[in-house]
Amino acid sequence: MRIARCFVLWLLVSVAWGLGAPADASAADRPAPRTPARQAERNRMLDVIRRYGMTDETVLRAMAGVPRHEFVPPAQARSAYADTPLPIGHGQTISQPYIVAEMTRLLRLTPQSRVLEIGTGSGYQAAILAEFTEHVYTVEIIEELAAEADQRLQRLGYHRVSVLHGDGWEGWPEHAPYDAIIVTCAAGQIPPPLLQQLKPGGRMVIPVGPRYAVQSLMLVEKDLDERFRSRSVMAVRFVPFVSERTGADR
Amino acid sequence: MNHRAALPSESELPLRRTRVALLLVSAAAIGLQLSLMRALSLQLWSHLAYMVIGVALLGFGASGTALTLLRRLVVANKRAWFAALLLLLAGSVLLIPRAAGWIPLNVQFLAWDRSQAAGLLALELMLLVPFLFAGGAIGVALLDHSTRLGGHYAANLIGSGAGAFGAVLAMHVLTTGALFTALAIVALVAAAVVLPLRRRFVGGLVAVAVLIGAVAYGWPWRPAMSEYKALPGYLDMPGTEILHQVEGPLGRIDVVAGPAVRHAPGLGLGFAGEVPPHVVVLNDGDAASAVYQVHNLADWRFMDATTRAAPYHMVSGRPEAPSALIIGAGGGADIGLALHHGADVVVALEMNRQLVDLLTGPLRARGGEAVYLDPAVTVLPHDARGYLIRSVRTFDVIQLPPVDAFGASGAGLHAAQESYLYTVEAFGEMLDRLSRGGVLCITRWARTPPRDELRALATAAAALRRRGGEPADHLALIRNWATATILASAQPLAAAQIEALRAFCDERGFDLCYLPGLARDEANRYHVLDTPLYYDAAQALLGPGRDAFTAGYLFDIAPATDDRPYFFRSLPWTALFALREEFGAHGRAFVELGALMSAAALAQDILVGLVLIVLPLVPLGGALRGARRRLPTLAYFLLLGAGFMLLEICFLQKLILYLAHPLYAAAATIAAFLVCGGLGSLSTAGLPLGRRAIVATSLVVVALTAVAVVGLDRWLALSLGAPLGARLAIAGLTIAPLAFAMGRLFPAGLAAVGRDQPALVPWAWAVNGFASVAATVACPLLAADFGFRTVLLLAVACYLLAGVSAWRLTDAE
Repeated sequence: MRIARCFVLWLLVSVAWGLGAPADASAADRPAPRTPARQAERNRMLDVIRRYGMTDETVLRAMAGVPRHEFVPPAQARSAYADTPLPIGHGQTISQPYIVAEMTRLLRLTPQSRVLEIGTGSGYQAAILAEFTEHVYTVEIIEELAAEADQRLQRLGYHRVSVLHGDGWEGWPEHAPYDAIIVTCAAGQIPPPLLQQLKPGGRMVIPVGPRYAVQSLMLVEKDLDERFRSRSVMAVRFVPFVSERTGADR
Repeated sequence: MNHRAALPSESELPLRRTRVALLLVSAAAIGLQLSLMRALSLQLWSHLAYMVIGVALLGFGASGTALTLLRRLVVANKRAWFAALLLLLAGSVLLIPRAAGWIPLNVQFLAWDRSQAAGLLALELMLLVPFLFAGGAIGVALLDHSTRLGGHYAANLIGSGAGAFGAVLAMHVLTTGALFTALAIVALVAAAVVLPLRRRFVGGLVAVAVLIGAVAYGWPWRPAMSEYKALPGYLDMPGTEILHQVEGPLGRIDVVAGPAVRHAPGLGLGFAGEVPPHVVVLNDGDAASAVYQVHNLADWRFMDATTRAAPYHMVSGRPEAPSALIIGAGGGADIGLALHHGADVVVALEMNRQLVDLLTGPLRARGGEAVYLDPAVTVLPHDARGYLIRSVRTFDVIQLPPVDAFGASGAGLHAAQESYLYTVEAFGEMLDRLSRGGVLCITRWARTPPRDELRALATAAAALRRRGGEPADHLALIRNWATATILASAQPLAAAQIEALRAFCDERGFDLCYLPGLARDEANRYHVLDTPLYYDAAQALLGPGRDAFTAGYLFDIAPATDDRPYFFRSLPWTALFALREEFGAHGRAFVELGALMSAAALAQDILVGLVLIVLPLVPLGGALRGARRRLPTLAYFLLLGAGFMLLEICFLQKLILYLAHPLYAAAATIAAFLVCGGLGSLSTAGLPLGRRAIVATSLVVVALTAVAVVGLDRWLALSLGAPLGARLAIAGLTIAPLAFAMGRLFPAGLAAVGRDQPALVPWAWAVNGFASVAATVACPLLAADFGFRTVLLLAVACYLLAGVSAWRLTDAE
């Protein structure tokens, strides 16, 4: 009787969380969990990204599958699919959807790619990367963010994303070299250890400039002779978060 | 008249006590302005300084309007009102700065987030409160007999001058939180001086005294620093700690250290070595520089992977060791770079004495000794312009690193701030101090699209042209992904220098953007842009089509001059329309925050000012219904308010160069204007001026200002080499006659109005306050577009028209 009660309780909790055992079990077998919740909003977000000129359908498909609203704080949930970054605490933001798309495209990922992300934040970018490859390593220096992102990714079924609480400057040498490195926090300097952990022929994408000003996305390529070339891809602004009302207006 | 009859009644203001209280409240009001500017710089950013000045004067203006509306009530019991307002001031000085921390505000998002505008407005309204009480108290005193106004106004001006000096001195020994407590005590003492000896007032005094004690002890003021500043970001990192914290008039310095604290901006991608361990020094929680703990000169090789290393390679062929001048030494990285290249003479200019004290004291063992105490290094706490003008020494390398933090210029944080380092005249003086074949190295953060970098190039080219050279032969421009560096020489670049620069860039993967003889396909090879933008721009700026190119460029890249020293303001207002056309709503991304804040403050001040000026005139209010001479009163006090502030700010700007330090310039200007103006006011006490005398005094101001427009620069240049004390005295004596005349005009006009239309007195005080606000905020905006010379001419026009208005202020004598 006690077992039956526990089972019923477990079932209720699982349904309430939307994360029953069958879904968890299947998550390991497919590239990423799919959720129909707020799909219409996600589609509208993708339309906006397309209007910017994004034509890479693999990136768009990946973004269509990741529930962005799960990666923003509850207070921002209504604006989750607005074309703006949103605050996630500790002075950090989840990037504007278009920037996430563009940075992902620039990495040219394949299923075999080994990719390192510096600045896990809420884990949204890592989830997008996990749509492409099984080898996603992400480092976050703020302990609270790292722990929350790890739990969130596990809860949503992104078991193949490895989260490390540590100093992004040092990269994650144990899993190096990487085919791609993505730095999601704006930087005034490019850590030499990250450049060293990039494979010859690898690509690194990094936003350059302050968070609240006009920035460049920088693509760094390491050629086979281990020389670096970089390219200023676009003038972007990781537009700061807007109030819920403003976000809804967009 | 017996003795009892000579004593003022309880409702009247006792003369001496009133003047003492006026001195104190005026000092507290100015002190509060400076303290709030400090506090907001610490919590948010320094571009809110103009907002504080605006809010303060707006509070004074609003108090005038309130007194106009409440005049009958106030006149019936002036002393009680005076004392009550001072008590309220004492309480609010302490409470408001604490409560202001509750407002969630991140002004850097102002262009994007409408809720920020509401937050800013809430902050302004909150900060307005103490100034409303201070202005109200001064306004009540000005309702006194017209014969006393000259002396009262003198006490007000002298108190303000003393407050400015006192606050700056106090900042050396008190924290910002303690400053608020001290100011509250000053206001409390002022209240005690004039308090009527009645139970409820004494009770109020004791209650406020207890409140001050309790709040100061139990609720200490702590800055609610924006989480988007660097310091909170560092403190979020594990193991980070604040090693030292010192506060002073130039800001709060925090030294942070920790395993994840890194600072090496602008390193080339090819650098694979180690950056030495370091601590980071932050000014007001932002604008970082690092102090590197090096053990030998080889540890500085990481600095050789920046574009700032280029000039040392260009002078490396000489037999003797190079000498270097570092402008803005900060944490000492550029000193280290010079030592790494074997410099045997390094003069490092660092204006912030507290930083120098830190590096030679507590941070000595953490890297300070290696740079600031090296036998080859002389650290001078001098402003660069002052040093360049007075020194006769020449250098092989003059290094002008990006003195603003990475990103600050990108966000336009300095757009409303003048800089006398990046002007044609400054670059000319730097070129004068170069040895033969020496190189001036100016580095700016690379921006998207380029602005500062091109403006610096255009400014250097203009400086070379003034010297009679052909800039195309004297200049080079290189860049990496983070920085752009302009290299200029007083002589045409030698073939060996050009070759050395090519090799330097090639080894490090830096792009050549301009060099005599550079082909277009040699540019844009390592950090690739869609087109060789820098090459094309440099060719245009150094060629015959430079004016057309500059005029057609989206951003303002025209050379900055001492008359228009706004190097960082690169977005002209007209460009906003072009941006909107080009980028739609995303054009807002390019808006420069400093200029935006100034413009928003001006619009707000004008709007609120108009409402509060017009309010007493509407029939419903009725306060001024039927009063005569409203229009001449409005014109006279409006023009006086605007003219006074425009002149004061222009003189302050001129003296920054003359006294070689903005702090000395501010102290000398404010003190001279307020004290000499106060003496001018005092000269009218008991000797009311007729309208002829007022007009004549206006004409004296006009004549003296016209003389200043023509000859001030030349006059000051005669004594540029004199010691600081002598220059301070000369600056004060130069301002004295003008300020004395200016100081006579306000009380003389007020007395005239008081004799004829007393109901207009507080209204005139309000009008004057609003005009002062608008002029203070408008001055940098006007100067950025038209130059300070034009602003001076505008001040001349103000006083000329004030003289005309004075003729209608009273009846003929």
